[in-house]
Amino acid sequence: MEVRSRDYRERARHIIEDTPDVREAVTAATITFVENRSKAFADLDAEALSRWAEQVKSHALTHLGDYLEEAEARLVERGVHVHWAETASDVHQIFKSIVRENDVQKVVKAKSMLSEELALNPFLESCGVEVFETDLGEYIIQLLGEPPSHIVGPSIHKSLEDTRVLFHERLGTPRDASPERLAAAARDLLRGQFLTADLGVSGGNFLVAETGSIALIENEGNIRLSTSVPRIHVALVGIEKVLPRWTDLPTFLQITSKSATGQPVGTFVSIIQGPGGAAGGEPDGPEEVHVVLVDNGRTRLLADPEVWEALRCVRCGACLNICPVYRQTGGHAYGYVYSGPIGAITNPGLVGLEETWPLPFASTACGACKDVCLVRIPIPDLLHVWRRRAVERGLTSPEEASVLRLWASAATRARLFGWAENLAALVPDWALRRLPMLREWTAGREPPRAAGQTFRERWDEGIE
Amino acid sequence: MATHTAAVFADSDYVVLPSGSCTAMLRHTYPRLLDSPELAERSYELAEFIVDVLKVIEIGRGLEGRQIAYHHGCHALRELGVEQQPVRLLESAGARVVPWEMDQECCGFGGLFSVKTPEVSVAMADRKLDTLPDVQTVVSADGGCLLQLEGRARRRRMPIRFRSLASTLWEARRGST
Amino acid sequence: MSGDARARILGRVREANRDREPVSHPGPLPEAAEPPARFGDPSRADRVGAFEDRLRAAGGEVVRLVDEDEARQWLKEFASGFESASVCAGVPEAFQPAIPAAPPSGAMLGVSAAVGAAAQTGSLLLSSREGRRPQLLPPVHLVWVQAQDVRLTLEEALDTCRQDLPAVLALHSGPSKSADIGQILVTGVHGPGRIVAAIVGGGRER
Repeated sequence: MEVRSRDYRERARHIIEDTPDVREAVTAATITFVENRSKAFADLDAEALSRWAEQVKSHALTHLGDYLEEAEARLVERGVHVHWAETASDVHQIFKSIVRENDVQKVVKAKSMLSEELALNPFLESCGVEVFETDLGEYIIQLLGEPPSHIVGPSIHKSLEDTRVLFHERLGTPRDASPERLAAAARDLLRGQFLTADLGVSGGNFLVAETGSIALIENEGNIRLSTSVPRIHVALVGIEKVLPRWTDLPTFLQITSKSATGQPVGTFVSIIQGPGGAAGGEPDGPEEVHVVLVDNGRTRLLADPEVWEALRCVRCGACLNICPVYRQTGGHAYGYVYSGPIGAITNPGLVGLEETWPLPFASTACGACKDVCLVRIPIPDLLHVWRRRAVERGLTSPEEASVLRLWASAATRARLFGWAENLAALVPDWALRRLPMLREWTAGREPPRAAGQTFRERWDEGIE
Repeated sequence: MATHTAAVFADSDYVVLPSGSCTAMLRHTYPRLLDSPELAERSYELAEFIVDVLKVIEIGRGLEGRQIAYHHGCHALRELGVEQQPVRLLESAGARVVPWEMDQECCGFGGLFSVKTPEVSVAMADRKLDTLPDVQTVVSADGGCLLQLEGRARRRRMPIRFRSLASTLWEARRGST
Repeated sequence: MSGDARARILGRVREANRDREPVSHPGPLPEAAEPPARFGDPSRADRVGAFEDRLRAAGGEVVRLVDEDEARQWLKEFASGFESASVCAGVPEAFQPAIPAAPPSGAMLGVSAAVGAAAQTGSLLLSSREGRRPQLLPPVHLVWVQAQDVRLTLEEALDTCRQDLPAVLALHSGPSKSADIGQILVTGVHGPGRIVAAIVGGGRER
């Protein structure tokens, strides 16, 4: 996916000012997610759980080499083809071979954020392969030609009305179709695709090293179908998805589900060890299973002593849901695959700060995300790290640095500061609307009214 | 600035700040900048100081009958853990702190954020203002939050007063508006 | 090709961790004093009742049947509402409906036998060894469970499968659902919109 994060401010402005429905839809959806999450954790010791989860993931990451090798060995024992890919291009080549060798014409895809990083769909299409997104939200945005707006609910920025219009145009449903009717239309169309596809692509929520298991959580059943019906299944798994032990899985399945949607567990969980069919001695299932272990910038993040903790992320989306900044725009403002707080700290590591530097600044550092992070990623601290680096690399405006220096020199000289405060009362309106920073303030807000007297002066006069 | 501040308060027993964000700065960032926790250890936010150090809850009854919405600034709330102290002080002075669903959501000031991404910042202020209960006064312990919310409310011509916690507690003591 | 990528990736991973303080695995989830860190109430004796509650809360249906006889009777009645069924390999004959068979893609009812269940999450554990399509394609899914196979926690249930894992061990914890259309809940996209757990044995504790 192309990186457009440098345009964050403009993209956010456009969404807020020109498409206000998006803000409404995203706000409503995220509030619901937050409420449901809250209820799910109400009777639990969320702190004990997140400390445990943090430690398991940190352990996995600090021993990642060993666990990746162990996972690979288990997978290979079961007859899974294991591939390693450093870049999107590597992944494309792997798919090219699979497509060629098997004469693949049609692919059904389950939701995978990683596949967005890798621009998989456009590549497959360029090979003459038809690709169908099967997650309902992903299907909707595929029809729209848009990227996902949220890690868990890719189409939360679209209302019922938007979907009615879309399906009426593209699937021929009645203009006032009920949600059930719309869903039925999508199901009927996609069902046919499941049954005739040659290959199913999925992501992976967790890769259990001990047993070589890929775990996938969902509510619709499209992952079960995509990974069971076509003859070939390819799972794209980021190397950071590793969980060390089989006994880690039940807790992670539950807390991730609770954190994402407030459910005790997602409706369907697929724990995949290998191929089915004749290859696996089973009545059905894919004859061939491939796992592609993907780097795509993850080793760069892992090597970074100040930000590697971002890799603990289990993609529950809780930080997006609680973020008051994310809530105003949804994910498209962020200009890359991962949005919200996790996007702000991960994207710079994956694709470079030069392309993504506004993202760490797309935050008031309010800290709400840190409170909900299941694996205790210190998100505000990591935001500050990226901000500091952006300043050091000269990516931010030199104006800012000058203004801050000016402020510091005034603020450390009490009398000077006092004069400046009294002078501030005399700044004419036109200046307020033209000077940098002041004009940004006054575009939407009244300027502060100077009291005409400093606190010190009032104190000296006797405040009573 | 840190050095300057430390010098100014070198001889004080306590440093009390009528600002959540400033207190958070002194308590969490200054130890690193000054290579010493000394100043941090005697720095307190105002409500925190009155309730937790001075052990005073009732200042006066000067807020009798007042309906107030309290905005919890992010620094005080999440970095200092100051949540119930300001509310207790206001209520014991006779005010009713009206329930406000979004009272803990960030107002959108965020320092430079307010002028670097002003559209999002204003949208965040609007969220706060649109969800306000029916009150005449909004109180907060953070100057930045007050600038932000008041600035937007005045632009929208909303008839709401914004007061700092310090000024409001002062009223509580004096017993009149 | 992929081999080189493998060596480079593992090389970078190990290099990244070279000077880093390793973190040890915390072991099992700690029992916190108050409130409990574990989910559910382990002291509740009625595991099957707890399972029932959970699955129902998620929109699933549950039927309790004392024994095979009662099960047959109930099945006859239940299956009469369907034109055809697709039955998984592992379902005992007594629990197969006496209605015409159809391939999974055409049948109205899919029937399978769970290899276990977990009360904590209201989950049915299904093995791919019996075939997957009957569990996924028909709009209604009937799952037979032995009461004695219902465990309290998901961890216990998964533990029983650990030594002999099929190609896919699946957890089904409710009917297929989505809220992707304007945040409104719809069922049956894409898996079965109706799931019925028929629990046999275990007496009537409720």
